[in-house]
Amino acid sequence: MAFLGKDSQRPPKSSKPRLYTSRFDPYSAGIRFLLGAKGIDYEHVYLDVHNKPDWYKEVNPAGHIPALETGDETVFETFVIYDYLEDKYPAVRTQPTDAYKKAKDKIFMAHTKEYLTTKITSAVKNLKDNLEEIQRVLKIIDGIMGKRGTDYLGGDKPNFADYYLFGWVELLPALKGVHEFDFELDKNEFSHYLPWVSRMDKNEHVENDRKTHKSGLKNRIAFFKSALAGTPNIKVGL
Amino acid sequence: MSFIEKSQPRPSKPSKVRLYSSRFDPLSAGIRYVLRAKGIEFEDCYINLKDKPDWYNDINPTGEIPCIEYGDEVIPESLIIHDYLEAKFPNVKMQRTDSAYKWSKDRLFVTRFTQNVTPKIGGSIKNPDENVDQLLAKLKKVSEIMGMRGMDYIGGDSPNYADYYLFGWVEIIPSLKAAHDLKIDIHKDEAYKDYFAWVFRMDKDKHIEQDRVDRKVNFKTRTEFLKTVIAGSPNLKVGL
Repeated sequence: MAFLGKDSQRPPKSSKPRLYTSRFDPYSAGIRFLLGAKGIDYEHVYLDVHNKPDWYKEVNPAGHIPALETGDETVFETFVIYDYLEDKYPAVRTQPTDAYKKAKDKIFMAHTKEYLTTKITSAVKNLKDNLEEIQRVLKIIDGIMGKRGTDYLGGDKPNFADYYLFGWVELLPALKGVHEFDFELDKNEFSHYLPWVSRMDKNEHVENDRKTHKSGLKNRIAFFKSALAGTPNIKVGL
Repeated sequence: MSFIEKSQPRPSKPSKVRLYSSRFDPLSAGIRYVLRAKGIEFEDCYINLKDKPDWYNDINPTGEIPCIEYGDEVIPESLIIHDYLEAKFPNVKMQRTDSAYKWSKDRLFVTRFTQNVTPKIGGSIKNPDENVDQLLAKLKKVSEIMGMRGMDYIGGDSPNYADYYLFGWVEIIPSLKAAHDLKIDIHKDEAYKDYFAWVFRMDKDKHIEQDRVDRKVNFKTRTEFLKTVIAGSPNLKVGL
């Protein structure tokens, strides 16, 4: 598997979709689960984000991952990729077709981005100081899940909002390990969120992703520990 | 349109589309232009963000504008509103349907504009010395992109949501220049050629012109409003 850093060459364009990603990236995770759910045949390359090649700006001028390149067409920005994939690959639906239901899910994702992902990112360095706020937002999410009353935000099966959220919250058990800080969410207080996490943990596309990228809990903990120590080991566990 | 006073009770559920907005807010502006272009009848309710009625948080828990209320359906967040309107009112298309990729290019233009340019517009109102140079540099980039696309509008032959979204922001710039009495003269600069050609077309757009007349929001009133903002006591009712 290619790890593309400063000395690398830009891979030649291909008609097969190519996802520029990195193994433990929470922004990419949801997209990868979704690509699996939609049955899209694609290849992935690992961009060494700590040592980015100069040519990557031609792929994505904003410089970040994930980016999805199909021949001459490159799409980046997570939310744009979700919509692009839904439009381009309509056979398996991962968004509601009803205008209002779709809007509700997009609002959920926008709020998750603003209020939760920012705190999880901060928690990578400092779990203790961010835990209260993370729990506060998860409580709101628990309430939303309770109100919807279905196994997933998407209903009977996960949709883009489920995959997006899980790509981020799967970091939390790893951060416990990284900071050696044990906390458990109360089973009664989070009576909708916790069962949802269990279901998502067993989702075939999530399990597949962990197998493909060897990004299970143990390696995730090891990676973030190495990143915090200043020497991110992108090849950990391989 | 109506200014909602703090003491007013929550208006009853609307039968048409209701837009909770603010008179000079750029995100609301883009949505209004799209509502007009799509021929959607709407009510414009101005919320004073500094003195909101208590019930507004029941409608939108984040307390922000713009927000759409249509029957029982409430939608905040500007781009989500654009997408909702597009799906709900499909007769007049404001977003590309020819290819997923072309749609995503428009969305990326808007997203990157929001990340990179809009903070400089807001910043230039508060603190022009620290922001105007960067704003002008970013407008050069916008001009470059428009030149590369090589069409009259982001939408092609006629404006689409991306054109209206951007214009809702950039129409502030002449007013902030006047309000701060800034000595900038870039109209003849080749580097901004494609940008100004686009601005010139958008300025004459019939929906934008109608909106100016209906709401009395134009270069003059916008400049007056910005002066009151700079002075520390925003007067939302200037020119009325």
